Amino acid sequence: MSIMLENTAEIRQRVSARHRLLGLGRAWLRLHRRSLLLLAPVLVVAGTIHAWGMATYPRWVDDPGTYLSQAWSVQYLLALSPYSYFYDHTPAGWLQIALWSVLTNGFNRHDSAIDFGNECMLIAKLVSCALIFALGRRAGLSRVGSAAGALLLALSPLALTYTRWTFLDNLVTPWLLLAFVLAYSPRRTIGAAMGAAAAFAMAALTKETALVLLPAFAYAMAQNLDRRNRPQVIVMAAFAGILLMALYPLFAIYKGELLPGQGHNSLLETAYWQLAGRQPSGSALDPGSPARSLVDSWFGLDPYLLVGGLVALPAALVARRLRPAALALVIQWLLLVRGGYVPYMHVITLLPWSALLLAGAAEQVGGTLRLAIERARGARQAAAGACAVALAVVWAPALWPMMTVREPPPLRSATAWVADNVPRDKVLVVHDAIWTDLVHYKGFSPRPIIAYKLDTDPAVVSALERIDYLVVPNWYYDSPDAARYPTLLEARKHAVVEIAFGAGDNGVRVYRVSDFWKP
Amino acid sequence: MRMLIVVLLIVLAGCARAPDTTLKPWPPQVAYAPLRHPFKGADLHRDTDSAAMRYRLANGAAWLAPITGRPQARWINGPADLEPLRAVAAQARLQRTLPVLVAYYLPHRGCAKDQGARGEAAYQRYIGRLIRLLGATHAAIIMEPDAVAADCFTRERGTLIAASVRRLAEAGHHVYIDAGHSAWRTTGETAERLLASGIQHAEGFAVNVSNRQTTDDSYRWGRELSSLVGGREFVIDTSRNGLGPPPENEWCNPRRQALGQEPTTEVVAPGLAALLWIKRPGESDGICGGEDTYLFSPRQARLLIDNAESSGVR
Repeated sequence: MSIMLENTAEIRQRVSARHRLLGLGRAWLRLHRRSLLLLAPVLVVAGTIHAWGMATYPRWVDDPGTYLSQAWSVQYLLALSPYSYFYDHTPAGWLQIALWSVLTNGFNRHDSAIDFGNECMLIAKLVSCALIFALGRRAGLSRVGSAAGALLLALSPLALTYTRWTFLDNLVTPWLLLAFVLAYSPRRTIGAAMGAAAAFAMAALTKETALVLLPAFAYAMAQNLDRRNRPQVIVMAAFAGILLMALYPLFAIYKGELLPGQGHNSLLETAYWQLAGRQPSGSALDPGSPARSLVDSWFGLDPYLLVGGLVALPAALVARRLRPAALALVIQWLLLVRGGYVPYMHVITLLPWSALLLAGAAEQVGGTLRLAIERARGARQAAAGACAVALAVVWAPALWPMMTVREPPPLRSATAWVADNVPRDKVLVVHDAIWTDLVHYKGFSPRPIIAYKLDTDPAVVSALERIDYLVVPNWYYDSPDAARYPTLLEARKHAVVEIAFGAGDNGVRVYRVSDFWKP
Repeated sequence: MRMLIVVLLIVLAGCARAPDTTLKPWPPQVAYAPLRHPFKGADLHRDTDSAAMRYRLANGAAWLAPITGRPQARWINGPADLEPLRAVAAQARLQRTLPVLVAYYLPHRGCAKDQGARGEAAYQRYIGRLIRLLGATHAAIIMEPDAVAADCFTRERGTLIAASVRRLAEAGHHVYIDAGHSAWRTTGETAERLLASGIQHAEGFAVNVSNRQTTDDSYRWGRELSSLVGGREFVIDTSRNGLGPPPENEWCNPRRQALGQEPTTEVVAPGLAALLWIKRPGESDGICGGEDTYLFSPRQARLLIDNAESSGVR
C-alpha cells in the first residue's frame, strides 16, 4: 500500500538496490557453495546435539541465573542488575541476552528464564561453530579440516556441558572468533581491521577476562598487515577497539564509581578484588589445589579435546597462521598454573582453540603422510576428518546420557511447588537460577532475595525485615563455603522443611521460616 | 518502519503478559490432627499423694504450703509408678479435674545405657498399662522430658515416641511432647525432631520442663516453634524459673533458683495452652549441689520458697 503512494523514481531506486543486494548475496552463495554444503550438516549436528536435552542437563548452577536476572532487569527495569551493579563483570553479555529478548519476546516464549538462556547459548554455539569453520579456512585449513574443528567443539562432552550453561564466556567465544576471522580478512581492508578490533572490544565488554588474549589477537592482526595500508589499519583499528572498550570505564566515571570510595561500588575496587582479592585456586600443577581438582573434573568429562589441543601445539610451529590461536591457548593454560583465582567455567576459554589446533594438527600429520606415501591425495582432509569421526565415536557413550536425562532439575520442581503453595507476598530467599522465574512468571512481590545478596548487598541487609521461605540447593548449607551465607544459615535454624526435591548436593529443600522469627 | 512496528508490538505483547499468581495447593506433607484444647476451662488436678505433702504432714512443715498447695504433674518413671495411677484416675474423674502426667521411661533415658525401659517392647507394655489404668479418665501427658532434645536422639527413638503418642492420643489423652528449652536447641532442629516424633498426633509440646529459663523466653521460643509444627499449642513449666536461668545455665540444684508463676490454665497468649508445674519443686535434680539423691529435699524446697518470697515472685 505505502509503496503505491511513492513516486516511481524512488521505486526504481529501491528495486535496483534490492536487486544489487540479491545479486551480491547470490554471488557470495556461489562462491562459498562447497563450504556451505559442508558446514550446514555440521551445524545441524551441532545444533541437534546441543539442543537435545538441554533443559535437563547440566544441573542448574549459580551464574546463569545471575546473568539472566540481570538481562531481565535490563529489559523490564531498565537497570543493569536487580541489585546495585557492582562491576562484577562487564555488562555487554547480558545486554546481548536482553536485546535478543526484546527483539524476540524471549522471556515470554519460555516457561523458565533458564530455558531462554539455553536458547541464547544454542545460538552462540552455532555461531561459534560456524566461526571456527571460517577461522579454520582463513588459517589455511582445508574445508574438511575446518569442519572437523567445528565438529570437535560440537561433539566433545566437555564442550557440550559447559557451552550449554548460560555463561558469559560462551558469548565471548563468538566475538573472539569473529575478531580473529576479521583479523585474517584476505582483503586486508581498514574496515575489516576496524571490525576485528571492535569484535575484540565486544568480547572484552562481554567478559573482561577476554583482555588476556590481547597479545594473541594483536599477533593475528600483525600477521595480516599489508605494507600499503599498515599505518591506517593500525590507527583505525586501535581507535575503534579502544573507543568501544572505553565505554566501560566512562560509564563508571559517569556514575562516579570508577575509584573506590565510601558507600558506593567501584570498578577499580572490584577489578582489584577479581584480580587479587579472591581466594586463589592454586596451580593446576599442584595435585592438592582447587585448580587441579577443577582440571580433573574437566578431564572427567572428556580428556581428549583438552589434551589433544596441548599435543597439537607444535603443529602451530609449522602452520604460521595457527600460531596466534596457539598463543591464545597457551595464555589460557598459563592462567591455570599461575596460582591465582580460576573461575569454574575457565575451560570454555580453552575449547575453541583446542578444537582448531587439534584439527590443524591432524591435517599436518595427514600432510606428512602424503609426502611419505606417493599419490595419497586428500590425505590431509582424511586425517582431519578421521580425527573428528574417531573422537565422535569415543564420545558417543558420554553424549547420550547428556541428551536423555529425564528428571527435571530439582530447582525447577521446587519452583513449581513454591508457585502452587506460597502466597505472593511472602519473602523468599532463593537460588539465582529461579529468581527470574519467580519474579517474571510467578509474580512474587516483593521480589525474592538471591541468597548470596543476603549478606553482601548493603541495600538488602538494611531493608531486610522478614524471611519466610528458603529455596536453595543443599550445597549452600553443606559445602565448606556455607560460612559465606551467615544470614541464610541463621534463618534455617528457625525453619522447617516443607518439601524436598532430589537428593544430595543438588537436591533442594524448601524451608518455611517460623512466622515469629525476625532476622 | 513496518519492522519497527512489528518489533514494538511484540515488545508490548511481552509486557502485557501477566504472571500466574493463583495457588494450587499440593496435599500437605504432614497432616495434623485437630486440636482439642484440653486445658481450656479445665481445673488442674491436685495430687495429694506427693513426697512434699508427706513430708509436710509428717513434720508439720506448714511453710511448704506454697508448694503443696499447688497442682503439679505426676511422674511415671517406670512400671512401679503405674499402680497408684488407678486411684489418681478415679479421684480426678470424681472431681472432674485434669491430671497432668509425665511419661518418663523411654529406653536409654538420659542417654544412659541402663536407664528406662529395656527395649521397645517393654516401653510399649508400659504405655499400654498406662492407658489401661487411666481408663476413661483423660489426662494431659507430658511425653518423655529431654528425649527429643537429647544428643542421643535418633530416628528410631522418634518412631517409638510417635507410636506411643499415637496410642495415647487414640485413647483420648492429650499428649505434649517435651521439646527442651529456649537455651538448648534451635527451633528449626527441634521442629524436625518433633515431626519425626509424631507431633502431628499430639496436642502440642512442652517447654522448659525441669529447667529455669524465664517464662518470656520460653514463650518466645515456644511460639516460634509452634509456627513450625502446624500451630500446635504448648505448655511451659514454670515450677522453678522465678529467677530465670542460673549463671552458666547450671541445671543441677543451683543456689540461684525460685518458684515461678503459679500453674494456670487461664492464659491469653496465643499458642500457649497452660503454665504448669511439671517438675515437682523440692525434688532434687540429682547428686549435686549438696544433695545425694533424686528425692524430695526440704533444703531445695526451702531455697525455692525463700528466693521466691524475697524476689517477689508469687
